[in-house]
Amino acid sequence: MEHRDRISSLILLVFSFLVCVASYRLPVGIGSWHDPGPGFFPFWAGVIMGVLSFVAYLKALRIKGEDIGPWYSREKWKKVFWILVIIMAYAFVLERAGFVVSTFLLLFVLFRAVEGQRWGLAVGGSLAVAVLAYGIFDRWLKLQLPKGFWGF
Amino acid sequence: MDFLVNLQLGFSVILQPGNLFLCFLGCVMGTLVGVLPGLGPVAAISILLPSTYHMSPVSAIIMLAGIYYGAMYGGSTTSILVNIPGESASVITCLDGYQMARQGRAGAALGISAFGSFIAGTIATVLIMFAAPPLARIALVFGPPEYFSLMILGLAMLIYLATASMLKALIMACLGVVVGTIGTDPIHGVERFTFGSYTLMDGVGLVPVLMGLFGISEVLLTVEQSTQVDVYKTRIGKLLPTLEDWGKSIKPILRGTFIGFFIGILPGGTAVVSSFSAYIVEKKLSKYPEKFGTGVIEGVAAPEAANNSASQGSFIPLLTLGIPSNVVMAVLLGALLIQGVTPGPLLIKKYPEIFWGVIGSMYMGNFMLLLLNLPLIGIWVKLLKVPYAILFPMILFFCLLGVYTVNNSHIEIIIMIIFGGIGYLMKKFGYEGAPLVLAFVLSPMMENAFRQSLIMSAGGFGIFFSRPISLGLLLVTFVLLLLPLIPGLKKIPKGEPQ
Repeated sequence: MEHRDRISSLILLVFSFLVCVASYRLPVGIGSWHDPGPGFFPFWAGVIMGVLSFVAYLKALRIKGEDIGPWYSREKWKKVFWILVIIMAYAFVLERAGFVVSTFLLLFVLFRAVEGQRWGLAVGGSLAVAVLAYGIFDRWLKLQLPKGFWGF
Repeated sequence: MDFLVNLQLGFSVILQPGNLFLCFLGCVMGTLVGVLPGLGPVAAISILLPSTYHMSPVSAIIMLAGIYYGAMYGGSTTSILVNIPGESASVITCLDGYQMARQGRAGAALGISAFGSFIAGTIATVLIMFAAPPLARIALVFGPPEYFSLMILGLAMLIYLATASMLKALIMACLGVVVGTIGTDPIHGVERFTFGSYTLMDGVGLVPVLMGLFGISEVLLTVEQSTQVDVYKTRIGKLLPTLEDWGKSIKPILRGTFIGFFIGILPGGTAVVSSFSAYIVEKKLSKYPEKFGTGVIEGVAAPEAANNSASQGSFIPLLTLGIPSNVVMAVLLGALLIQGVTPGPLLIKKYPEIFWGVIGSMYMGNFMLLLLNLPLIGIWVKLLKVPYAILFPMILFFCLLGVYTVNNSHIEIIIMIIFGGIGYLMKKFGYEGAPLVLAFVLSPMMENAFRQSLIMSAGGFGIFFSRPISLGLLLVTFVLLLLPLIPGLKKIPKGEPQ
């Protein structure tokens, strides 16, 4: 157990409490041993999880001494953050702009902005992958990828 | 000779050109993700899962199975040449494999691990062929209480073998159960925790959870570390092991095969654990245990044989009981269910072409993998030199594509990204993904078995303890969970989560 376990166990404790409350408030609710309702399973899983998280918190409290440093990398956390933002944007753009355009943009941004590849490689590589993937998965494997309003 | 007829059926399935090609494709993909660090069989199987929807069930599982045991072959290459495990079941191979490479014996190490894997894979296939049908007959007497207890035991086993902390693994298993209850309750038709989302009414999909926890989070972690992969610059040398190498390795390979197979069929047993166990057994039996870790060939042969036979052995609980014993099997269960095939004791009888087709494909697949991993080793080594800056956008893209095509829903992409973030934080705070995923998959099955049991007993909880098989399974579970509380008892070897 480490110092940082105090944070994680507390978060899990709060989460398990919310699960129990939500299970209790479901229609039909927890039910009984004789007739378990829809909330029965999540409720008891939540109770056990809460008890265990509390034990984990107590164990973490007993640890003395210095923290082992921040859990994120001081230099690189921005990169992780941006990657998450970019793929989240892809999820929202995909069905509007179509597969080929969104995929080209996704790869281009990842190659060029995040990793600083040369322009030629970023443009050419992204375009090649987007078109090739469209050909294989949509045309050949018939997976029906989204088309933008321009028809591809 | 009943089984000869069955085996003939199996080979007639696998020798159809389409199936043969898919088996080959699976083996190539498996070797590929095995070689590449940070991308394991779970991610690869999830990515290819949507493309199997148009196939027949047997073709789908032949390809997906090939990925799993193919990854076991590929993982050793990276361990030996780069000292980074290509996938988690090859962690222990780094110890002696990399030392052998430094001494100029990379060829022998690669050779023995490929041959060892081949021997183990072939023997394991024979063992499955003989062990599965009788087991399926035993499983026929299993009712809901036995199934419930067996699933609890499987989870307990996985938790007991957890890498870091059993407490944290237990918490993750509970979390998995909770996530598994999201969706429409099968008995009362009540929506649980869906927040009004149509996508969530069917429950959280397996593929977005897996890709998030094992694909996206791995990419985020690797990008943050940005270690430069440094392929050991050496001539690989002769790939065929010498007679002396064979003399030293043959017994470790055979022992590794049986250890791996036994661990593989246990619920909760994984290829990772089997490779650690096989290594430790060899070290105990060796005349020169102090030399382990300095480049002895037994230290490569035994674990590589074990992880292969374990990966194949773990098909037994899936195909005979319908219960996945590890995360990869959980994905395969999902693949079969999508195809309308429910694995269980009746599978071998009802769908002989699936069971025997898979057996046939394992024989062929192991043979293909031997060819892929020995004469063509150079290709895989080159692949290791592709910089991660080019690789990771591609991995992300395939995760996005794979998840989207499951249901053509961008909500599933968002679920994947959320689980990617959760997986990233879990790694940072020392929580494992495997108990969460297995509990998530088992949760609906467990809930059903639990409720059916209570209906059978008219609400009496005693039904789990009055039936001998169920009682036995629960007793083992209690022992496993209480063992670590006894001071002075050390846990058995553990591996990284898969």
